[in-house]
Amino acid sequence: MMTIEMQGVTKIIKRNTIIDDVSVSFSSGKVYGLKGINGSGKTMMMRLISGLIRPNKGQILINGKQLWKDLNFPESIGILIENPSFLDDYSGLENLKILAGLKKKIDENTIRETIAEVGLDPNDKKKYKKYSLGMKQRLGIAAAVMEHPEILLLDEPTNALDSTGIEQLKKIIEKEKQRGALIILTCHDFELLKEFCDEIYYIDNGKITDHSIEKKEESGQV
Amino acid sequence: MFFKMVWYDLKNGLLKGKWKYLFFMGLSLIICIDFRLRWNLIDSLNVPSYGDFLMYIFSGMKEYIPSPMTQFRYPEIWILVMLLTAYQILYYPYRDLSGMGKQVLINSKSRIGWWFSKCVWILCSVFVFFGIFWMVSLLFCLVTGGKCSLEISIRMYQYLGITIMPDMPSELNIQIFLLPLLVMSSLGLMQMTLSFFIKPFYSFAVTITIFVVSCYYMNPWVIGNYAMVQRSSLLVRGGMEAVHGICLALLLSAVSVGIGLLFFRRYDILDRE
Amino acid sequence: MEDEMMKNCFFTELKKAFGNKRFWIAVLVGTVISLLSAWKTLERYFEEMRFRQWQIQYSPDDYMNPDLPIYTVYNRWIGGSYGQVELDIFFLLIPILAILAYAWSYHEEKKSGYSRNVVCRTGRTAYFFSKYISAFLAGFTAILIPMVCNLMLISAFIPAVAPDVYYDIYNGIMTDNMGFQMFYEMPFLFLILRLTLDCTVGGLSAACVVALTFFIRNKFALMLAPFLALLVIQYASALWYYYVSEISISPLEFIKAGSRSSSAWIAGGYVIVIFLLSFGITMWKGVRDDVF
Repeated sequence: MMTIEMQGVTKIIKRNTIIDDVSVSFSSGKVYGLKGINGSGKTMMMRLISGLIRPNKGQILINGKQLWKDLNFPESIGILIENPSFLDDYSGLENLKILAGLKKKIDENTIRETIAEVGLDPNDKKKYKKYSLGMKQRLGIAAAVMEHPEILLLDEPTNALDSTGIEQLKKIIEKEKQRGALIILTCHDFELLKEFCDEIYYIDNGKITDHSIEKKEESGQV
Repeated sequence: MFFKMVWYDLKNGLLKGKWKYLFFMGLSLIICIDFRLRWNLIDSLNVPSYGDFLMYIFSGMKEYIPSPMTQFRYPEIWILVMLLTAYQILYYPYRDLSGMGKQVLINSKSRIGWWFSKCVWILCSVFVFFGIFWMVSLLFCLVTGGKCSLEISIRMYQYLGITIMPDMPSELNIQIFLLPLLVMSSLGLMQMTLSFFIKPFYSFAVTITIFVVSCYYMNPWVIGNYAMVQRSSLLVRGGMEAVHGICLALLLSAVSVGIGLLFFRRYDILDRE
Repeated sequence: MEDEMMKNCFFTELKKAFGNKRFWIAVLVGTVISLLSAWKTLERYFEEMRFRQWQIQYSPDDYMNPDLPIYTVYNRWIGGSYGQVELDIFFLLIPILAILAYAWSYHEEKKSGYSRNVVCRTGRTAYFFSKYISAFLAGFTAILIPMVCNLMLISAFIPAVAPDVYYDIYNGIMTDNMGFQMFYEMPFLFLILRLTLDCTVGGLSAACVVALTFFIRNKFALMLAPFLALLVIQYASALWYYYVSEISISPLEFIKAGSRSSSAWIAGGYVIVIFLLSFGITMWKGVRDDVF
């Protein structure tokens, strides 16, 4: 059982308060949504949870362990924050192999399966710099999910995806949720967000202003 | 529209960034102080002139004749001034095309206009950076009681190891002002054109190579020679003729602008580094 | 687990460093220049040998001394020779070539956001340590390969005659240069140390860029900063030489033969200070700073 707790977290960058005294908790096996206008602090929250940036006040606990004190990063996490980013001179498969080679938790077959799941061709030798925006986004999703992390942070994963891509993403999120992952995602399309998520937090000016629980029927429909 | 583009380039590529000007001024000041201190040993009875100051900066080096007894040493001040200027004019045209310049280009509907605007920017930039050296030297000369004249003293020639000849000119205005400016401008245009073929980083390496080769070979076809006052035909037998330098610089400029124009008209503007 | 990830991260970075196109461009450019220099040297050597042969043939009594130490590997290889335009171009381009190899990678990964992907998996320490070391090694190797190619070609034709102090005007090393004694007593060791020093200057130029990435955003300013700094130090060294002490403090001087007086302490000092500063900044800021 994975839990994330943010306790009184504040983040200030160049005298601007980006996240303001946020206290919230998340647990595994659920999909959480973050909703807010541009610049409300959604992406910053994800960066804080992933350990990429340090809070100025408060603490973030991952299974009771404090980030930046007991932990540098959550032990098992997959992220897609802002634009997907890979090495230009390598193909999609090569890029994912490089990333997977860091922890060596999965083999090439798993990588190929994940690439196929997101709708890309694992045998495609095209270099990443030649990818379209949609292809880059799919690869970014693949990189985030391929190691089946316990925490999955997806920032605007539907960007540049066509309807097929969105359907594939839904299947992936459902699969990860069934596996017991803790998933947090953002999306500007509110209807999609309600479809994906079990709970939605509303953010405005760095503060959590509201929280809703999306009741879903057994079939997964709202 | 063209003049609007030129103004846009001057505003964004030249007027912004005060640190580079402060750096150039600081460097000019240090060179002037260095020269003034050396002058006390060169000629303690007389004060240097403005021409002496400029000669110190732009003199370059004598012809290098390789032998076991003479070790090559490139002229530190001259190469520093030239390469710093080359660096300052390196990046802006290329970067602009990946940034806001794309919008300007589309709005202007003229690739030719865009290209020429960048060429004008290069010329203005070189003038400004060299102008900093001219102005700081002039102010320093006046403040330290130097002579406000372009006359170069015999002592200066002796200090630089130039053989005194009876018909030696007392002023070298073209060699000191015009030629380095023209040479640097033409190399700047060449550098900019090359940047679109081989990226700015590599084109800067080409510029470095040209300057080093210029130090080694006193050859009328190696353009850097004309930017070294010490190699002028007025000071050295078999030296560089000003007319040749002007023609070569203009030729290099014309070729660079022309090739660049031909290429840029067909250039695919992608977001590349 | 952390050691394993550090190892994985390190080898991944090394693979990226030595597998990237720009590294090989740097090696190619450096090698072309160094081989041009070797070719010119050998051309002069063969001409000289032909002339000598002619002299000995026609007037053997006058030319009994073959003057072997004039031409030896130790004073004709790229690190021991001087007075050639290719050499000066090569040594002036050392920081440029070394930086081209892999120093730019942290800037690019930071800008694109790729560093997020890696840092999340390996942690900051592993990432920045690997990045620093691989940039250093790529820069080091980008200079090593051309110099070794030159050395191999020169030594294939010019014998390794021990340098003789009576022929000192043909060697690019005077009594006030560092390693003067070693050059005459242990020339091979001197050669190795000269090679190591030159490559280390390259490596440190590249490593500096990694550290400077935390402060400079403009890619060209970042990549050319060490080169421009070396030019400024070169001028500062000329001032130092004239006003303070007749010893060179410019790295561009003591990496090559035929330079002004130099000191091993100064060279060593540069290496240590630059390493400590660049490594310290990289690790300190890397571990502490936010990764965006």
